[in-house]
Amino acid sequence: MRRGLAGILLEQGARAVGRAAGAVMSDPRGQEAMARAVGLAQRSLRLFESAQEHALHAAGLAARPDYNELRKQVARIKRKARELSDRLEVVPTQSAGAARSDGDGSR
Amino acid sequence: MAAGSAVIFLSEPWLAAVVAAANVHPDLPVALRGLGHDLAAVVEAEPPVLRRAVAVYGRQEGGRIAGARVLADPDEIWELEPAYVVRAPFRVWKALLSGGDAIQAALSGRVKVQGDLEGLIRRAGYRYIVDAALGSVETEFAEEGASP
Repeated sequence: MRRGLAGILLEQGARAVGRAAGAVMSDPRGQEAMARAVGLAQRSLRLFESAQEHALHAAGLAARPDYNELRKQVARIKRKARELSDRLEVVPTQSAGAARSDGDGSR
Repeated sequence: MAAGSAVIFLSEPWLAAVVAAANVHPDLPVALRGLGHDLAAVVEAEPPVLRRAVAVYGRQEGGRIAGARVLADPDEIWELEPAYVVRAPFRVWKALLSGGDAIQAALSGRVKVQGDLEGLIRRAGYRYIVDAALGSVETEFAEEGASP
């Protein structure tokens, strides 16, 4: 029940913020101000993350970019496996076609 | 697109129709100028409506969308490293495609955007291009349990 009430409040809050943001965004100056504010917040977050990364590396621990690099490598391996699997599906079809032409007495 | 020729949401024909509609808009080159080169949109799984996540990827070149495709695996995004990644569950995308408020969806956290938000917010006024492109394509949403 409490969670339901919290959910309703959150939804109403989001709607109110959305309406306010909509009003700001409808004005070009408001849009520009919001863009700058969000840009500043993103740059600050990047600086913080960079500092955090250095601190974690200094302590011999992995940081988010290290995990991201791993996910990138996994994605590459998955793609290569998919491509290989596609090729393997093509090869039996071609072999079957070649066998048929060998056996049709055309030689 | 002609009436009665609905295309299934997230299918290759649907994506091609949306891209073609966007590319003929005269304001598209201005809207894309200065933005990152590519974008991925992820429709997160929402069983039983959508059993697995689906991702589409598009890149811009010369003021138009030069290429777009449905990714075989959403994890390809890690390899592609697009400038923007937009993620939302199936029902949220469906609501947005039906004219839902994108700002409210983003602020409530239902839509997650990675990338340079500053540039995207500056171009929020060009949303009508996306709306027009989506509106011109008769979209059919897969029934419960179906995959696109």
